[in-house]
Amino acid sequence: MNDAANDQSLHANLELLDHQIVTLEGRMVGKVDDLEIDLTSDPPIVGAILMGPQARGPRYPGLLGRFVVSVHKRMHEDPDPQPYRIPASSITDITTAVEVAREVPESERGLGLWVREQFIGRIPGSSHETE
Amino acid sequence: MKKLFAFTLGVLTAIGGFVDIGDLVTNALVGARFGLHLVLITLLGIIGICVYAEMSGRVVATSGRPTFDIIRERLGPRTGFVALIGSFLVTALTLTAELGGVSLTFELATGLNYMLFVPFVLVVVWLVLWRVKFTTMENVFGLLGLFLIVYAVAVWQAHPDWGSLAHQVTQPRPIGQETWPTYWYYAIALFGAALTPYEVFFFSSGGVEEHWTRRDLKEARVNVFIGFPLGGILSISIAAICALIYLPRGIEVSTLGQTVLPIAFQLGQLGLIVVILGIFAATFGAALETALSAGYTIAQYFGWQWGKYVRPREAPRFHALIIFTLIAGAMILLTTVDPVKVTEYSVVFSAVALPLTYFPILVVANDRRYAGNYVNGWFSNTLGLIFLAIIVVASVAAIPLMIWTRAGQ
Repeated sequence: MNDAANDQSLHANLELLDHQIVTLEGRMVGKVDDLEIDLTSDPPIVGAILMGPQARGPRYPGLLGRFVVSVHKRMHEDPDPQPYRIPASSITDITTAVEVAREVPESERGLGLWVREQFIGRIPGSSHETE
Repeated sequence: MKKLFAFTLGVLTAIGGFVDIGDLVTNALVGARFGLHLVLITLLGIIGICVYAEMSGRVVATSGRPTFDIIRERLGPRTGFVALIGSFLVTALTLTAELGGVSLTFELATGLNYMLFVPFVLVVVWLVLWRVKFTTMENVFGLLGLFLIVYAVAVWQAHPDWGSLAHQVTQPRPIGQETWPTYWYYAIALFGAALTPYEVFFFSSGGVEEHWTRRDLKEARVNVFIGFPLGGILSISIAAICALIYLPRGIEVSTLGQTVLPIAFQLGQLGLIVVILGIFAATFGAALETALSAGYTIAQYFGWQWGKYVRPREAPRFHALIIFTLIAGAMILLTTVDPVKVTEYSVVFSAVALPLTYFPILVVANDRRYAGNYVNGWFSNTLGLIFLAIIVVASVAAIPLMIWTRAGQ
């Protein structure tokens, strides 16, 4: 990586992969579970950041990796679920977190939505600030 | 004036919040069996937690990244997952021990069996986590924890032969019937009790909850470097009073009640009330911290929204994790397992889990992308490396020693 030549270049493994993704309002939406590299451009660039079990699963070794991917696939409504993709053009800032100018749809938050609607959201006081 | 007040409050909370059930039980037990011959290890543990808490506090103030974010970023999803399982299980076990500790203080106060209080304690801990603001929660239980100063008062009131106590400290070796393996086993337990992994998870995530920036660095450092060592003195006082009262009589500590008896013996009824209040605050405060830490670790690994600074419905998985872990802890206690035994094992397994937590902190505290101009100097790095070496040795030796000594019997 020749940082001096181009401030768009960074160490993808250290500065992008596995970092926190936040929205413009500072909401945490997930981790950079994998990267999509565009090999057609020269030099190759990061085309998108990927998140979710379909992106993270293959990075686990052997049985654990296959387990994560196949369980998520079985439980998903879509017969062939893909990792959630955030194009590099949506990235607004990279500090130690990756800030993206886009809302991740509820359907991509997996169990989070279900847990909120069926469990946490039903407990009195769940919409209140703490005192 | 307001600033000075914040500083004082911070330091007092750090002192009061330092001791938890692990420190209490392990120090009492060791004091009764080894006198002060293991105090150097406690001191070592206190320096260790200061070094690594300061580093994780500095990283969070400069980069906003709490400890488990860093673990995932530097160890990757695979090793990070191993660290996650280990840290979560140890934190859940520690939470179980703290819930048991709170319930036992109710038993001490009322005479009713502690198991009657477990469901009640579970609900109250959850209610505080659900409704009370982070800072309020920290301040109240930290300040009440200062009641544990009665241990220091009791040592002073016992008019010990200070020369003989000092002599014990400078003779780090087993005494009487004790052997070297049990000596080292309890050394690891004391070390694990002082450096429990949840402390850095909680400390660093607390930095995010309280929106620390570079400007808060000084305050965080004062809290660590003054508050923690003063809190450590409470740990050593617990060992000292048990050494004075139990060691000459050959009595071993195996219940929580035995950790308060020396206070009743030295300071009477008022002392007893104060120490029970102090233990209640210390264990209740630590139950809150460990329950939160169980949520912090998993949510930070997966990138889910976490924290008490948002409404619960905005961090649903975080709150669900807290509830799940609390219920699991309470259920373990209701199996009639001895909470003191749970505590003893929790500190040893803490020692096992330490390296995967502390190594990434040391790496990132040297990275300008995280710490900017506040990267480690040679002093922090030297201490950091020395402690990392000790932590690795303790982690590898812990389980073999546990089996060899039959868990210190």
